[in-house]
Amino acid sequence: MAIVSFLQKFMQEPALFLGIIALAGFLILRERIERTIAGSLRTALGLLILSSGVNLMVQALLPLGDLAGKTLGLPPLKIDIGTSKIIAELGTQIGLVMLLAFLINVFLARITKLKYIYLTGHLIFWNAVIFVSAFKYLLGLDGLALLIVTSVFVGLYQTLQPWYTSKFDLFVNENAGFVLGHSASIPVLVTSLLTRLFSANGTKKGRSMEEIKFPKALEWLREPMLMMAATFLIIYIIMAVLNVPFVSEKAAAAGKDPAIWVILQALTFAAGFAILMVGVRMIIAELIPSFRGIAQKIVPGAIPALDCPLFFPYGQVSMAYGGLIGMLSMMVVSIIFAGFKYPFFIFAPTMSAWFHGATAAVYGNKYWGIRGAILGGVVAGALMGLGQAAMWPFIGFAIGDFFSWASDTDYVIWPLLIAVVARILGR
Amino acid sequence: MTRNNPLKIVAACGLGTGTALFLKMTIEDILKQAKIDAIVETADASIAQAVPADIVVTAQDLVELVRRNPKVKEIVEISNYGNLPEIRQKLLDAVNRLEQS
Repeated sequence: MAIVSFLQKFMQEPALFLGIIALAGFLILRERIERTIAGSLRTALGLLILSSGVNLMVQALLPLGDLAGKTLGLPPLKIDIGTSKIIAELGTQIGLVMLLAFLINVFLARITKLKYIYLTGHLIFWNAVIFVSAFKYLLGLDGLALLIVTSVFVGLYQTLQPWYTSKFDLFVNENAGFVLGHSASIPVLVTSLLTRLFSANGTKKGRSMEEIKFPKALEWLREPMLMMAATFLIIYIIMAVLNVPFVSEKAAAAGKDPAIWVILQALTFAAGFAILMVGVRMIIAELIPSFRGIAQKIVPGAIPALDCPLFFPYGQVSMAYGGLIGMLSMMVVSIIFAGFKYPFFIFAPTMSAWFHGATAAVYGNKYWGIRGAILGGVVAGALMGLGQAAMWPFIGFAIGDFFSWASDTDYVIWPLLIAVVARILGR
Repeated sequence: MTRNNPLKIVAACGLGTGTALFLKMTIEDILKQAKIDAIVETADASIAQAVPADIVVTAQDLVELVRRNPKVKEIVEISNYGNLPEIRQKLLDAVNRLEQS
C-alpha cells in the first residue's frame, strides 16, 4: 500500500507527472535514448521553472494591484487561487488535456475537410490551462467530466479556430500553405471582416502602411522583456506618485528606499516573465516535435496552424505600428474603466496587446492599407480590454494574475460562452 | 577543415516559443535530409543577442539585434519563417561557408 500511496503522490506533482507523460510518449514513438532522457527531464524541469517565474511575477504584481485599487478607490484585488496554484493542483488534467485535445484535432483533421493541425506549442499549453480553469470554476466540473469536456472543447477550438481565420490567413500570406493558430484569432477575424468590407474586398486598399517608416528610437520594443519592464515601470511610477504613503509603507516593510522599491518591483515582473517563458519553451520544445511527428503520419495533406509572427513578414511596418497601437488602446481601456470606477482593476498586459495589435494590423493593412492597420491595432486592444473586464467578475479570483501578463482575446472572450452556459444551467 | 563537434544552430523569434520552435523543426528536417549533424536550439530576442552559436537563423525583424552578438559566426536572415526552399538554400549556404573557413 505504501507504494500505491507513493505513486499517487508522485502523479499528483504536475512536474513529475508531465515528465512521465513525456517519457511514455517518447517510448511509444521509439525516440532515440538520449532524446528520451533529455526530453523527459526537460519537461519536468520546465514546469518547475515556469512555476517559479509565475511566483516571481505575482510577488511584483500583487502590490501593484493593491496600490492601484487603493489609489483609484476600488475594492482590493482578490486572487485566491492564482495561475501557479491552478497549474500545481490541476497539472495532471492540464497535461492530459494537451494530449487528448491534440489527438481530437488530429482525428477531426483526418476524417473531415478541416485539415488544420494546431502546432503553436506554447498556446497548446495555455489553451489547456485556461479552459481547464474555465470549466472548473465557471461550470464547477471536476475529475473525469472536467477532463473530457475540456479536451473536447479545446480539441474543437484547435480545429475550428484555424478554419474560421483560414480564408484571411491565406489572403494575407498569399497561399503560403500555413494558417494562423493563435489566441489572437478574434481581433484577426473582426479586423479582417471589417477591413474587407470597407475596402470592397481589398480592391480599394489605399496607401499601404508599408510605405512609411517605423522610428528607429522605438526599435527596442521588439524585445518583449524590455517592453514589459518599461511599460510596467511607467504604470508603477504613475500609481506610486498618486499614492506616496502606500509605497513608502510597502518599501519600508521590504527595507528599501521607496523609489528603488518601485523600480525593482517593475523589473522583477519582467524578470519573472522571462523565467516563465524559459519554462514554457522547455516543456513545448520536447512535446511539439513529437506531436508534429504523429500528425504527419496520420493526416496526409495537413495544413499547419502556426504562431502569429509567421505573418509578420507580410507587413513589417504595419506589425510594428499595430503593436504600439494595440498596447496604447489596451492602456486607454484600462484608464477608462478606472475612470468609471469599475470594481476591478483592468491590467494592461502590454506583451499580449502588442502581439495581438501587431497581428491584426498586418491583416488590416493587407485589405485596407494604413486605415486598416490602425483599425486592427485598436480592435485588438479594445477587445482584449473589454474581454478582460467582462471576465474579471467570473474568473478573476482564479486566473486574475494571468490577465496581468496575457489576457489574450480568445482567453477572455470564448470563456464568456461558458459563463453564459453556466448561467443557463443555473450553476 | 573537418569539424569534430556538431554545429550549434539557434532559431530565434520575438518570444522564442511558437515561431522559433516551428523554425527549429524546419531546420532539423533540412539538416536531417542533408545528413548534417547539429544541435538546434530556440531563443527569444534577448537571448539571441547573448548566446554563442555557429549559426543564428531569424527573420528581418530581429536581424539587427542578432548582429550585436559577437559570439555568432553566421547569421541567416530569412524573409519569411514559412518559406522552406528559402530557408534550406540560405542555411546550407551558411553551413558550407563555415566548413570552408
